[in-house]
Amino acid sequence: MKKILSVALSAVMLTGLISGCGGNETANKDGVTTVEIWSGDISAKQCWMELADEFNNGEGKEKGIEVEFKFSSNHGDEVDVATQNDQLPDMVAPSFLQIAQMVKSGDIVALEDIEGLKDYVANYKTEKIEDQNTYNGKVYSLTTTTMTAGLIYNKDLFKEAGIVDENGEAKPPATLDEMVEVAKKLTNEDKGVYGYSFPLSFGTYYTLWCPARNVAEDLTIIDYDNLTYDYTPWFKLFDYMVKMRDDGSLFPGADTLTNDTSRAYFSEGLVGMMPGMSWDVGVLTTQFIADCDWDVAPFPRFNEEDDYPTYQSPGGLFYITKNGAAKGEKIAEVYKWLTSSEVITRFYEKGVKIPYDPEMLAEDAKCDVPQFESFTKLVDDRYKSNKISPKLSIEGDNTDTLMKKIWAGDMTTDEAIKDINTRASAAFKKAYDAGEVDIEHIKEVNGIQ
Amino acid sequence: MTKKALTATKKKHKLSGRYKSREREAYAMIILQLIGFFVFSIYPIMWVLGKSFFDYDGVDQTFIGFENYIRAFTRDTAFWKSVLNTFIISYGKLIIELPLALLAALLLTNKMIKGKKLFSVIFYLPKVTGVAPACMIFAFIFATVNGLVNNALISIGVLNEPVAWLSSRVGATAVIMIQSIWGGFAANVLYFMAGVANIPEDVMEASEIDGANKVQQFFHVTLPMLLPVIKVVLLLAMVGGMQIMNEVLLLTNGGPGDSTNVVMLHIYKMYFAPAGKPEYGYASALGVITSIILGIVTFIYLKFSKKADEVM
Repeated sequence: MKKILSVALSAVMLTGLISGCGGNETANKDGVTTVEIWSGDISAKQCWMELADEFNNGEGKEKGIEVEFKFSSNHGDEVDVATQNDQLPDMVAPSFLQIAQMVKSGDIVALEDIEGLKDYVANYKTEKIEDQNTYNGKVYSLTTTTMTAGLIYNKDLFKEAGIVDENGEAKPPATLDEMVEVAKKLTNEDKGVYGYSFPLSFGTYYTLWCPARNVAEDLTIIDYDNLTYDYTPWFKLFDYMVKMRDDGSLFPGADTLTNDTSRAYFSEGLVGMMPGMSWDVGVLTTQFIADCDWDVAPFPRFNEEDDYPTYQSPGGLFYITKNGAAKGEKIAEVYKWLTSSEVITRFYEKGVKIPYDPEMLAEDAKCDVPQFESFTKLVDDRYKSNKISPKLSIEGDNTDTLMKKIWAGDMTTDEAIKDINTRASAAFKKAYDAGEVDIEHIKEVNGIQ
Repeated sequence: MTKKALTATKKKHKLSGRYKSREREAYAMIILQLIGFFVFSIYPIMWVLGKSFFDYDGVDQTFIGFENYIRAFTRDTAFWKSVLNTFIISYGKLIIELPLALLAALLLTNKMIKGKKLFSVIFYLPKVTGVAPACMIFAFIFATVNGLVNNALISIGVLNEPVAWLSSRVGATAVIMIQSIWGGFAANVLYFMAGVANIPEDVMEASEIDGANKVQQFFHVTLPMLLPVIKVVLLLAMVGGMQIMNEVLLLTNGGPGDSTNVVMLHIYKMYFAPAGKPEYGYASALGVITSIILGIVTFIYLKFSKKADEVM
């Protein structure tokens, strides 16, 4: 009896183990090919589900294809696990680091190697395809959308404080010095209103670097001839946040303020200005619905005459896996649909995604959300989102940590600049001497003479 | 049974099919656990040990020998600062957490206290609350604007203006300790309760007969008899304390500056958010060094706490 029980128990446990390792079945019911797509873009989920529904009942039905989306906030981790267990779906949207690894291992496939996509890729606005989508000379994904960033401001508070133009409309600041002055004017501690909100605990990339990318030609200056790094513009920009804090016009508790809390206070009308990404339109119209009239402007610059393009980040990047590639023409049809004008236009009209190439929009396309149009106007063709920089191992504190140390008063800005410049330049020289940096290639991609 | 007789019995059983059948059953029962142990414990340890000798960014790896260890010992001052912060936060909180847990255990095992079951549930609730929601709540409680603590202290006149609790080293350290004590002391209460329950009643009665009051009973009877339990509790707290990370990540992310950066968070940042490219190799070396530090601390502790075993 004991023997039977022990064998049965082991069998049950083994079954549980093995069932978790089941292979990926190619769904093909009643002659309809199912294409499974994973994405971590929760903000676009509703739009994608609507589009998938229309496709499955229309074009997909005619072609015998059904599209199934699966969204997850742990998309990156799930792709990692699926890769290790050889259970990838047909398309994924991995992170930059994952892409490099998956290209190397053959888990994602070049578009040109898929039946039916070679000519499509060649004709798809090739001058707009970014270098980051190309590996070993082959295109792995096509860019359809982009996001941009700028300064989100509360028009009601501006009007109340008399910061208006000749037409009585709220006038956002044009320079960083003006921004400090405006923030001071907007601040009313008795009412709990502050001029600027800076969610430092969210890091400085999306809360300062991206929105303020237009303040200088480069926030980090790399000298490829002398092999040096200079972070001065980046830290000088950060100094303005410190100035506003010392003035009392920054929302209190910045170093523990999260991005969501900052947006919540803005939506309550307690914040005059804050850094914003184009995805914040969805947040302030559906999640933390703004109880004020607000708009978007380019982030203030160092000098009024400066004219540098705002930040952009190409998106909409789906990659076809080796499992998806096995579906040949069917997967090609789905990929063409994903990158079609119809899909790009729908995202724009719903105020969800900005088209990477406005020519892809339908002629009568009109956005339902005015602030989204304001973000769209910030898109500047001069911005090179495919710029690359040397991949270095810089020992010690990164810029985020140094800025937090400046914030805590543990070091001055000049000390931080000297420290990071020294370490980054040393790392650059070391990598160059070891043959790990191809300067000529970087210069060629970045358009440096 | 003598050794000779045992060997003879073993030999006799070895020959019997029943013994072999029982052996097979035993192995069948534990084989899955063993597989799990090797796959989820031994293999990751070997992986980390191996990668610590490489410069590995997740894509390419280059063998660099002991370079990662040399860097950790000669150039990474932030790592050693994080080790110090870990000791301060994890071991400093034990000064409050353990006496508090012992007091709670004594109250919960006192026959005269009513509602013991209800209090047991209340004390244990923080343990079953997830760390993430708990830390979010603590962040709101100690928030500079509209925080519960600031509002309460301002309303009773203790403060004139809000305090940025999480924006100073002392404040941030205190908040992390409070949250960690709140979330962790229930387990220690249970250990102490089990220890108190194991104290023979006749020993307590004898001390009463000898004229000892409650305080004297506690210091001269209860506490000495609890020494083996205290030893285990302290050891678990020390080992667990070195691994503190989630609370720090969610409350302060190592700030302000790097004043609350703990060793596990430092290693985590090496893996996921370094200056430049990911440094899995270096992070692995830091993990190995941390394990050695913990091993040394544990060894010293066990050596000096041998006397606690002689009590029972």
